[in-house]
Amino acid sequence: MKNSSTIGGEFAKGIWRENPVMVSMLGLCPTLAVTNSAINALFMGGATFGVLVASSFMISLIRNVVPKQVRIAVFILIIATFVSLVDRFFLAWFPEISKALGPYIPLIIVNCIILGRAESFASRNGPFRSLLDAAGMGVGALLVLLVMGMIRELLGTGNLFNVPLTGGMITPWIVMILPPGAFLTLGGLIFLGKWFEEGKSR
Amino acid sequence: MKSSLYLIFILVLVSSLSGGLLSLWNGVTEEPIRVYREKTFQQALRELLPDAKKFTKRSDDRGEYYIADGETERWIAFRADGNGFQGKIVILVGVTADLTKVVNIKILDHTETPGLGSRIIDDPFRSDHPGWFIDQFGDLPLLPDIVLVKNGKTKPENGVDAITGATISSRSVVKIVNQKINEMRSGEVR
Repeated sequence: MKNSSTIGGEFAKGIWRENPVMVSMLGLCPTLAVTNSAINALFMGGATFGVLVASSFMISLIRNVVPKQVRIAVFILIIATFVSLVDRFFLAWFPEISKALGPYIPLIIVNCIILGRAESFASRNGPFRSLLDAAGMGVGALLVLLVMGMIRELLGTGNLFNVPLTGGMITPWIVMILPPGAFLTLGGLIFLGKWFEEGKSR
Repeated sequence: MKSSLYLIFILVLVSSLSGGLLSLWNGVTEEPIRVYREKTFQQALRELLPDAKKFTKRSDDRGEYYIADGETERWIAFRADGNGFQGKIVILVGVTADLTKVVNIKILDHTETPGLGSRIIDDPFRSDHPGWFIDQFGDLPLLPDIVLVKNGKTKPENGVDAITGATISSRSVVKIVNQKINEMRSGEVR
């Protein structure tokens, strides 16, 4: 893999140009499932970010020691370990959030953003670059989740971070906090992103 | 040969490191998790039967239950769970000691659809009284069960109104409570 990009670029590419959710379309399951409120999206994005950064760094450190035949098993083990740490952390100190996110925290283990970055980046690059790459991708995913959570909560309940905003001026569209709202919001965001990119290139 | 031994060595090493780390972390988080569960349950018990002065835990083949003593009265509180629309609903039920009347119920946990089934505890269409569905179970006589009434028909003394648009969730709550009360009836309570 070419190592020509700048240090800043390594971080920034995950936020827009190679955004894991909007461009690579990875990790859509949690993106659709737990963005029904801004708080949930924030914690889900935070958990994904933490696991991604920690496991990418770890995997990059041991990349030359692990034989390629068992690399996926080792990656998953490392990811699963970090996810379990985060899961227990939420259970112990943020029990309400843990209840709201339900099985989606343990499911971060199979989030393709994390395994994808491990396989395509961390296992071929040094720890410092892997850390930057993971941080950029993590922030990119977190931002998409947060924006989706905010849009859905605002339209679906009239609240933002549980604070009533619209004061009953609009009737909440309950559908926005139900599964169809997730598809509508994500579709809309991807449309806007592509539209913006097209406009720039023309 | 050397290489396959090496594969095994790496996997064993990574697994044991991971297991060791997790068991350490489990030791750290165990206590806060237990404390939180105990606290929420005790709090729920007190809210369920605010007049009770003392709770005594019992357990037999019907599971765990609590004898609650007030000034003169005596109640029984127990956990009832069963399937709702898509996941488990866990309900804390308080009844009179002779099992003839529901005193109060409380939903401890549920995974009903937000905005639809979740109206069993919080109904946005009734902003004046969002907990109306659960409150119907307060002081409800058991003759011998609870009956769910749909479409606003006249309800009997032991009836509760279903939530329009959340029939399955309403029905599940009634069924779970009925089932557990019948199970409690299968033996003496003292």
